[in-house]
Amino acid sequence: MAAAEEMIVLVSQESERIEVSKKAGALSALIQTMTEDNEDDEEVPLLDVKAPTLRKIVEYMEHYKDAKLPEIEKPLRSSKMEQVVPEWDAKFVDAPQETLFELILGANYMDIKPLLDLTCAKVASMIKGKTPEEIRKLFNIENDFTPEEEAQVRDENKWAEET
Amino acid sequence: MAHSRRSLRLASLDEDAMDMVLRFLTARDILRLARTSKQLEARCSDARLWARLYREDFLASDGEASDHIALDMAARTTGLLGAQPRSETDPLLTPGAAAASATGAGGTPVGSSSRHTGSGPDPRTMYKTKFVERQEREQRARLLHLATVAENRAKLARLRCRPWLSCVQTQVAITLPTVLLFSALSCAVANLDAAFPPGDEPPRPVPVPWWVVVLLTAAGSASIGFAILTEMCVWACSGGGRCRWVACYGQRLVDSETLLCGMLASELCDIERTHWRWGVCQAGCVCLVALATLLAPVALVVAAAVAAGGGPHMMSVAVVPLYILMCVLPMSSCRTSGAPRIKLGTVSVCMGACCCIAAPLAVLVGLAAAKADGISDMSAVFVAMPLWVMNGLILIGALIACIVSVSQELIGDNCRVGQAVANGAACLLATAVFIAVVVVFEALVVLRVDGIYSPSWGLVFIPVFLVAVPVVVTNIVAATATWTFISRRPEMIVFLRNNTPRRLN
Repeated sequence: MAAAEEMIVLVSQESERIEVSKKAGALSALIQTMTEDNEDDEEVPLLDVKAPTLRKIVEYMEHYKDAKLPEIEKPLRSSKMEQVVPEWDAKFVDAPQETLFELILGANYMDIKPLLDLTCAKVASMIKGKTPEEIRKLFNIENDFTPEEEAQVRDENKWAEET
Repeated sequence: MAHSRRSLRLASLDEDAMDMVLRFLTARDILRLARTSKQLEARCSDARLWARLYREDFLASDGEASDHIALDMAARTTGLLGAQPRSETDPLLTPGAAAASATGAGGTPVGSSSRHTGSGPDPRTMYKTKFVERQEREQRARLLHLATVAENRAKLARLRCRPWLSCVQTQVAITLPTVLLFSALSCAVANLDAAFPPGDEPPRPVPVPWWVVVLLTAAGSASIGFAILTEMCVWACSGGGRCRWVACYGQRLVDSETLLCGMLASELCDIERTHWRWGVCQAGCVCLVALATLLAPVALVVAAAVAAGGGPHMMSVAVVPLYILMCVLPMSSCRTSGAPRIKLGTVSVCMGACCCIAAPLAVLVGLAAAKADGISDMSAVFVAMPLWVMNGLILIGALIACIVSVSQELIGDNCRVGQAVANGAACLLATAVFIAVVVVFEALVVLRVDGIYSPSWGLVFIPVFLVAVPVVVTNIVAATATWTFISRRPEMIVFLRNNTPRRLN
């Protein structure tokens, strides 16, 4: 029987304790630094990350603790995530916007670069190929340009559209 | 790194995260995002962002050191790069850089400090310039690619249509002039019978107006000229092996119109480009031959009409185009004019053969015209003397050709006696039949003119019709064979279909 895996405990904003293997936790530069600094303490407080987001992040880390992390092409060649990342990754980030932004902030905070790449790529894929109006509608962005300003910005950026 | 806990929206992502998102977007998508709100516009105008985009999109391939320096200068004017090496400008690796621009709120432009404000080159402007240049280059390449694809498809279509067109063209080129000229000849014969009746009969009014005969003759001659012209156009437009002059003109390799005309002439006469002066000479000869061919029958018909009305010395004038024809005929073909590609021996033989035909014909025409005009009263038998000489030479030449042909069959590696004998017999028979028919026609004309035997002119011209029929049949068979041969060569079509269009830059 294989030896039991060494575990660490992550503590969320709501003080919820979530266990993760040390190997998976090593994907986060923050966790790695904190566990190295306090070797006796097996709890890592992550007070800026909510419990549901932390669970999702742990799911990601556990999935990739042994697998090779894929590189995402920049810029994206398609607006469909299935075409630029593995299927599991595409499904993983197929989440509501609120969750997605929480994941971005969490990944940024915990310094998990592959997850940050993946989530940012998902946001970029939602923007890619859309018109300003579509982007506004999708992300609920308020148009605070005056008509004159909007026309000016459109004229300034026209060169990228004229092909 | 800390982040504020507000309701999560795209615009509220901190600079590092936003920069990460922008890294996955192209310049076009970034500029579209910039048009959504003032805050995002400010973020998308970041000088570092555009410096990075410029570096990734253009410098990676161009490797322009001067642009690297310019970009560094531009970034320094924003106060973001400072003296840090470029590799450290990655916002994820330099937390200090994030402080340079505020996350902003309430529509205040964020990162305004990172906007380009200095006097150095603006990375966004530099990017725009390069981007537009590249787009124009790609657009040109796309158009050229499309043009090449279209050209190749046109070639393919021509290859498919060409056999059919060739067949139709050949049939028309043979049938139309044959019908027209023989109609003209039939009418002329009927008119000659009326104007110059046999025996002591008085002349009758001509049954067909002479202008109809002239018109038919001119149309027949013109249709031959039209067929030649069509063929020339096909050469010029085919895009195949015979349009070097077109290619040279397209590539601006030729800056002189004179040289171009010379090359065109060389091309049409199938001469190498370097010998274009030969082409000019030959083109001139070809034009003269075409003119003489066109004018000679018309002039002869007009002369016959005037002679029937009692006009003096008209035949001598009418045959002038024939003299021109006889003079330029030996030079009109590259195979007989000593073109540089032909060996000297071949040239000599061809020139000799041509002169053997052209010279007697010229003498014949002169003598016949003089007799018709009443200048000379010699017998038609003597007038036709050059014809007898010519017939004899043709017969001897044909016999030699048959012997050479059969000998080659017999001494070859694949000696086939039966086929050699058959070829020889066919050759001799064809020559004998042709010569016999021609000699009969010439004899009938001579007898008719001398008044020794006075049949109808229609009877005199029967051998001409007899010769014409096999000629037409042979040509039709040849056209059909050409069609079959071309249509059974699909390898060219396959080659063109599989040939990737060349990309022009």
